[in-house]
Amino acid sequence: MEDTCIEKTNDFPALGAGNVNVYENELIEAPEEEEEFDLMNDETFGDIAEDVEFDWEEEHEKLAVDLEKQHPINFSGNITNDSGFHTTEKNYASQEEYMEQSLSRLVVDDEDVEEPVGLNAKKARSIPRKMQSLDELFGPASPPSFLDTERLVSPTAKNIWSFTGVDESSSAPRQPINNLQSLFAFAKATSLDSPLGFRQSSSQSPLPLPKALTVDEIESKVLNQQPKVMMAEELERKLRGEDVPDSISSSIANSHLAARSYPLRSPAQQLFSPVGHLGHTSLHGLIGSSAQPSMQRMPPSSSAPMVNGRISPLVGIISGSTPPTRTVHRHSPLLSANRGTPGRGFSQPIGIPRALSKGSLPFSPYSSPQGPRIPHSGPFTDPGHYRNPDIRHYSQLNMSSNNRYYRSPNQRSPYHYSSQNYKDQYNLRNQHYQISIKDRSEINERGDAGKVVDEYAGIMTQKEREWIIKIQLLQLQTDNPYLDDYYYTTFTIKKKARENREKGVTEEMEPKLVIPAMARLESKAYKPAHFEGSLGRLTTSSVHNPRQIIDILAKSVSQSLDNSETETKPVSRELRKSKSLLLDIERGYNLLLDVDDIEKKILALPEESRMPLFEDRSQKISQLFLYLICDGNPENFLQIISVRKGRYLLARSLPLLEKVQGECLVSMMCRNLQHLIKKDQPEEGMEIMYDSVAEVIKNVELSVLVKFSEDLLEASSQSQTKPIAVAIQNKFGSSVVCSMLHRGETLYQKTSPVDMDNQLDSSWSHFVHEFAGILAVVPDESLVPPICTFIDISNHLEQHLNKRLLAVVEDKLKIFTKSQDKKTL
Amino acid sequence: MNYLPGTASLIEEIDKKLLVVLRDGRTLIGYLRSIDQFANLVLHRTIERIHVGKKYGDIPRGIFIVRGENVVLLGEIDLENEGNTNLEEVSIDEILEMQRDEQQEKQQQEEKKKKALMERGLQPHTDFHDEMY
Repeated sequence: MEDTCIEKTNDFPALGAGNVNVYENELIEAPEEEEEFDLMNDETFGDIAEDVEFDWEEEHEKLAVDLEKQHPINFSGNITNDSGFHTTEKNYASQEEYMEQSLSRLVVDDEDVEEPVGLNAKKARSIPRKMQSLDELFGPASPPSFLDTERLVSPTAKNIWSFTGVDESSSAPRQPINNLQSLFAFAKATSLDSPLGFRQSSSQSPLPLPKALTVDEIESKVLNQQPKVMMAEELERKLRGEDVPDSISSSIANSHLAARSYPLRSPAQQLFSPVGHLGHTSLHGLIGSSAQPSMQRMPPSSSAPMVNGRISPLVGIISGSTPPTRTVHRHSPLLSANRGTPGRGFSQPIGIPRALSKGSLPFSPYSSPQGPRIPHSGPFTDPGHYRNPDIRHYSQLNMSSNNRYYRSPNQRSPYHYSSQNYKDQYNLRNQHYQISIKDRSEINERGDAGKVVDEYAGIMTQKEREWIIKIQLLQLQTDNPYLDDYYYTTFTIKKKARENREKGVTEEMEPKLVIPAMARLESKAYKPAHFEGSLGRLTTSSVHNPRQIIDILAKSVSQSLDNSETETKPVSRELRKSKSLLLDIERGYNLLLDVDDIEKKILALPEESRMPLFEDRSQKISQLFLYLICDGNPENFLQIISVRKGRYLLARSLPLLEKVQGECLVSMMCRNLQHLIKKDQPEEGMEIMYDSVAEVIKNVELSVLVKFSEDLLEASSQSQTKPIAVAIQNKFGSSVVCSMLHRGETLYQKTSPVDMDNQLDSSWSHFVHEFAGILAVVPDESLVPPICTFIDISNHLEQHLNKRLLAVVEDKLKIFTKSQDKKTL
Repeated sequence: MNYLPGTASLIEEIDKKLLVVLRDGRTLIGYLRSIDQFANLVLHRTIERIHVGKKYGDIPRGIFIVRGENVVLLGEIDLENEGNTNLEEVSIDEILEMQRDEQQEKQQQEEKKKKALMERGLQPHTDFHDEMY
């Protein structure tokens, strides 16, 4: 890209001649990436500084030097020249200066705020501390600060773990500043893009740092937080409403803020930023000042980091007006103010830069002109943590982007939640939570018991362990297993059902999965806003409404178009026919699946609200029946049944249908049994329908049974062979006949001969005779044993047949009464 | 046996002596101090153990942070039977020397193979993976 740019500028010097030099200079001087950004920025935002020779970087450095000396509030000249995009994004060297400036700016702002005396007093108290660490903090370059830590927490020291000595000298005095520093780091980080999501806090994030030293740092930090006593104490104090000592409260903040994840472009940069481990100022001072009167003083159009970066913090700090080191979690006007104000940055929609939306914190360093990025929620999240000392452990030793997890999915901050809410939310969302705690403590006991003496054991606190367990369990959480893991869910359900059947559970105990969320989910259906005449659709995507990549509707439209096209093409008629048949069967499946869905929903609903769904269901079922019956057209029906897919559809639909509907279908089958058998296939043929058909036959009245038998006998046949003869030479046919005879016997046993309808009786007898007669004729070899055999069939035949005929068929009848394998009922 | 899902199962290994084999073939032995959901590990009192044949050498490494994706294998060390191996410990220099030799030998072998393949008109695999990267 840059090559083309150079070429372009060289070839056409007349075009934007003024800018060419700038480009060239930068291209030559700046490293690759930066210049690309330059170009892109200039393209995007226009070259604000019109002067040809204007080198903002140089300019800026000069200014920064000035800032060290004076107090140049009237620095606005640069604001107009430099949009702030360049500087925040690229001028790393001056980052610290920005920080200083913003710091002092905030300090000044803060000063102007009329604040309770008590708070001011507190501010004053923290001054000396800051003074102490200023050199380290605001030294010309950051790397030394990195080394500082090395010196303080030397890896060569014999016992790096003993935090008492080291810690007091290194972290304790610096802690107050830490917060603000990290906040600024955040502000800076928002303008830096890192796909890797490195954490800013070099002191606590071990991963991005290349040196072993950092490990030591982490360890010391972790240990720093380690003593439980302190936390408990602090908690207690909080509960009693006492003043939390600065060291404690700031250490809490420290642990959060420093541990926040701030994306950086490269680990190397981290060395430049003193922020993570050296920052020291109270969070409240910053937010308070940015949220309060500074707003009135600043022109709303100026970009935040620049604005904040005007004044050297040295001024403010040295002059004794320091940012207040207050304990945020209690008397903080800011927190309440922020929460109380609607339309604040926290609750505003993603996608609108905070800096641009009025009513948010226009001058806070968070509102970087780069627009919102994910880390935006970072510092906003912090106060939430800050208020919840319970949760702070989660960020104590974060090895990677752990903390992100705790941001709500829509980038809003948990700031809104009170500590109780926060916990509740998690308990609600994860029922496993309680279990995991139990598990964990067990584990802990086991682990600890095994140790003889391990002074370093337990570095990972219980809370941290719980947190990891929770995270893992949350991943297994699902609202709707049918949606998230359909195949496994149905597989397990089927398996369970099979087990039940094998165990001999007579009742068809199909295990049902109740999904409470199903009922709720329905109402959540998201309809993207559509504007008339607009080309696209405005959608917000979330976990629940993932962005629609393929429009199924459009696809089906194009599909139907394709269909109409193929109609005209001379494609093989057979192929087209079978294709359209399959599509047609699909319609039936759609209905079937709809019924399935409704059934699942019904399970989740309370009794009283099920009614409408029941109606829905019966409506769908009757649609399904109408589909299957094909207006009584046997041709269509046979076609559907001739395909495996259709046979499965029928097999699955039969149990769902009303009794009469099922009988209607079976009757149609009986009538067309001969045709069906002709098309039967050895693999997954008619047999797959047997269970469903047998189920229907098992429950019919004699009248219906007789109708079936008549259907079977009357079946229109061109050939000489009788339908029953065909039937008993086919697995499915013989099975159907067999179960019909079985049903006949059961019915005859149940009803006394007196109650028996004479006409039905004679019709049935006719069928039985017919069957026996044919059975006598058909040779043994061609008889096919049915799927399910019934012993009582022989009794039944004895009743209806004369001895002579019975004697003839007795042997052959065995095939229907005695199963080759075990399946005899 | 019941175990926690994902990396949470590693919590049971915390503060135990583990042997970790990394993707680049290195073997680390140390006490697991901390983990996260990505199975990033913090190993304490780590040694890197190099095995060559029946001999091994330990290089003290101190604290080791392992990015989770690099972990191939991880297992607890039986502290009671730790010494009961039929392996012989040698000094670091020795083992490094042996390792170098082994690698050289391997490389030569590979070269030979390549040559043999070439002679037979076969294109040897160009993406030759050195075990040590």
